Amino acid sequence: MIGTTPNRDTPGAGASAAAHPSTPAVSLHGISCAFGATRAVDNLNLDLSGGEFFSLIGASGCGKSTTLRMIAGLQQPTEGRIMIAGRDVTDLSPEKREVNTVFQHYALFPHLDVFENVAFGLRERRVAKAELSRRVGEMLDLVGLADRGRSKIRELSGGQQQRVALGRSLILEPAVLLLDEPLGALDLKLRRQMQLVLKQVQSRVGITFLYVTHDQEEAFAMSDRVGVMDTGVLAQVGTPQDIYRRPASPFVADFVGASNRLGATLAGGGPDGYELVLDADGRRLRAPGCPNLVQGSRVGIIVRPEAFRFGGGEGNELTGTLVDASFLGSQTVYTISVEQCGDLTVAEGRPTSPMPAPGEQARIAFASEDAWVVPA
Amino acid sequence: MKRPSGLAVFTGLVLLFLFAPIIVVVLNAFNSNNTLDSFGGFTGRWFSQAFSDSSVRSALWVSVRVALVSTALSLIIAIPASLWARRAGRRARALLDGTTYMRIVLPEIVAAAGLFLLFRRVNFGLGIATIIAGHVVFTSAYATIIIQARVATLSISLEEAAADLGAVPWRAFRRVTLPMLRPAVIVAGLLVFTFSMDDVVSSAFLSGNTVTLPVLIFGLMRFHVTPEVNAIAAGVTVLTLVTFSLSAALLGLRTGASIVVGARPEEASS
Amino acid sequence: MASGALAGGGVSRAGGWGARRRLAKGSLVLPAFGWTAVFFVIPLILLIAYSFGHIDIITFTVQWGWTTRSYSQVFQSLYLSAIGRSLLLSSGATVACLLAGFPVAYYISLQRGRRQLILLVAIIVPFWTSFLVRTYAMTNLLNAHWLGSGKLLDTPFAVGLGIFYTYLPLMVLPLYVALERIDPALRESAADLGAGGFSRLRRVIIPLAMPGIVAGCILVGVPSTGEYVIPSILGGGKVLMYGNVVADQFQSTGNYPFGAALAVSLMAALTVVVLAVRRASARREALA
Repeated sequence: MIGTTPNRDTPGAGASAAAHPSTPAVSLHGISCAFGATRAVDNLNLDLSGGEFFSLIGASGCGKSTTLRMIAGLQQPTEGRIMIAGRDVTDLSPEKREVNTVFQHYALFPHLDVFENVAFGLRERRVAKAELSRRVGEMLDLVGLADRGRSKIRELSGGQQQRVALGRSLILEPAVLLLDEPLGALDLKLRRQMQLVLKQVQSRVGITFLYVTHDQEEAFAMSDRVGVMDTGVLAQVGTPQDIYRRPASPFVADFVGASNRLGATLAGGGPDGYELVLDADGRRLRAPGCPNLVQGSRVGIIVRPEAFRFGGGEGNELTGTLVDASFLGSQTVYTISVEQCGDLTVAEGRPTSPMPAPGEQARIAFASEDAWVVPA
Repeated sequence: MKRPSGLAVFTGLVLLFLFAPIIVVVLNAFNSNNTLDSFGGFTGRWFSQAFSDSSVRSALWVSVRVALVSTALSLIIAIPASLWARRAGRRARALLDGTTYMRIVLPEIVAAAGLFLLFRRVNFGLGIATIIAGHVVFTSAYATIIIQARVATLSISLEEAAADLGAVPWRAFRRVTLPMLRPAVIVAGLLVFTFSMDDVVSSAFLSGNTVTLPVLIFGLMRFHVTPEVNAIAAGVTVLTLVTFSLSAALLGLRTGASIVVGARPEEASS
Repeated sequence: MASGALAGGGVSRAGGWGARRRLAKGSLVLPAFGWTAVFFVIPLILLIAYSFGHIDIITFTVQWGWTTRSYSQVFQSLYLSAIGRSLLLSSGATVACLLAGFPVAYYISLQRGRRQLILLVAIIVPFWTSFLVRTYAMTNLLNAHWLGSGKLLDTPFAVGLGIFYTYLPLMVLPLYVALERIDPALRESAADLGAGGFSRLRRVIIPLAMPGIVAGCILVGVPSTGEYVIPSILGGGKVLMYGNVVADQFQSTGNYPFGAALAVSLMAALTVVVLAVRRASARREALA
């Protein structure tokens, strides 16, 4: 899948057959949310397939949480319709929707123990006592809290609380589960653990997950598809590989990882190989890129730091001065100042040739297939 | 505008219920119809009548003096106690909280009766001093919970920072703590002044031959509803509003409101 | 916070200097404890002492001796009705305050910013206004001819209404504080899990606001039992409550032991109720 255009999607790789494979689990049509003069969300269109793990990422204030809250029913959209499993729920209150939310700070009821928290929704539905006990027990097993049923919320660690929140929502078997930055309060190691847990639980249960986070790595690790939001609009929707390797705009490219951008002009060609004239020294090169770029327009060539190699031989060569080398552990990040290109970032795991020292000249090169052209 | 919710309507009605009688009193104070069965037209007659009454004026003067002294004493009691409570041991603080709470919650009649007996036994004449003693018992409690609630929000690290920068405890108090306490002290002072000006039970028991304004009014109210009483009542209401507006003006409405609301007798030091 | 650890500006000094500092720190609370001891505790002790004495009818002096005569007088039917009426009226008024105050406090806690501030001020202003004036205002209201031919004044209903009217702000404020503290995410979460408005109230909001409810009920119920002013003004001397009976003994009859016995009984009963309620709510908090 190349160059998915913004605001429309095709079923992602991870979509498994839902009850009605053709009906999206969640469908947003022209959703907008305005607070006074500002539009937190602007004309959003999105379809989520049954059983997929979808993440919505973006900077603070981009509208991702607002979108999630609108699907949950906690926020009214000013325009547009929301469909869940084929039903129009736009005017329904949260308690009537087949959607459940895992809140950012869990929102566990402090006056109820773990069992009662998980059972809350079932009690609301007047489920019979025996069945309720059974289902709560099973859910506690699933999230790994089988022996903590009668514990008080305040006795639990952050990770445990998060699992209670998860269990509490999953037990109601919603059409889609919404997760609002649930791992934000956990430390790094615990976060990684919980990411695995979430992914495993989602595969087992087969419910559509809509996951909101500002952490791009986290989203990539867990999701079948990712949507990048920028000030209220969807900049791009696609698989993690798509978004990383074939970003639709400079913003998306920058958001999902460090990127170097070389200015150029489009001379000709098509998405599989554009003819480019590099601004820095006027040389010509070829590289693939976004569709629908206009000949003669200004473009940017995205090259990821890890796509560069020191020394020559790769194809497109640049020469500059080494400004800085930072050893990060798993890799070393170099900053190289190239005339007319600015400071470029190069990342290397294990150096294959002798490294220049700061102040010395450095030669770097990248392969055309590793570059990607975006609008300027 | 959306149709107001049931909750909003209910709240509106309750507020109306709270304010309407007071407004009626104030309006009636200007009512030239002295039987008060209908509104006869505006007059300031009752006010001048009330204030030319010497018993009213002397009672007012007594009340003001009592209230001023009570307020001062209450603050002298409440401020150091609140500061002490921050660093006191758990049991000592529980003792302070408990006695403060009791002074507010226990019916005033019990405390007043006890004080009456006390002064009788030691043969101390009833008068302004004894009234003040009675008032301070509960006004200092109100002042304590208001100031304590405020003190609880102050971080000790600020005083530690002052100490680190060379300020001895007294100066740290004066330059750092006291200014931060100022809003609470003002609210507490004004509120306590109002309560003292309003007190009937302790004043009635402990005044002997002295008469405070509320006791005077109370006596009048028991027996007849005269327009003059209305005028006095309206005057007292205005006084109340003046002290409240004063606190609002000095502190801003938001701070003042949050201080009054934040004072919780049942868990003063939390 | 251990005492002494932060005394003396952050450094605990051993020896005389530290001890003197600690003494100075302790003296801060002396006015408070001192005043309470002399003008609150001792009077209460005196009341208890008097209650066990009896009055000599001929000489009108108080005889000391350990007798429970005054207490048995308390339970005479003559005064029991006044006592019973006190309890009934104050508990009735407390319930009314709760029923009226809770929705108001809840509504205010849901507001934001300026609107919330204005509403709070609207509650604080009556609270700040002279209690006497407000009771009197109720007189005006009940006296009005437009209410119909039946005179509402001087009835138990008038007294109950008066208590409800004057104490209502005292109920709203602690309720508001407790409700305000409830994380809005909990309401949203309950809705998300399927609970409608009434269910949310019953299962989440009220349990979490319970400390405030208890506090409000005590702040209204306990002092109002010993009310004196309201029954005098609104009851016209015909509706006697506990406070009137007590005051009567001290101000007119002069039977101090009996008055003391009445006062001590009231105090004891209320103390028991308050302790029981607080223990029950503390236990509930621990279980929750």
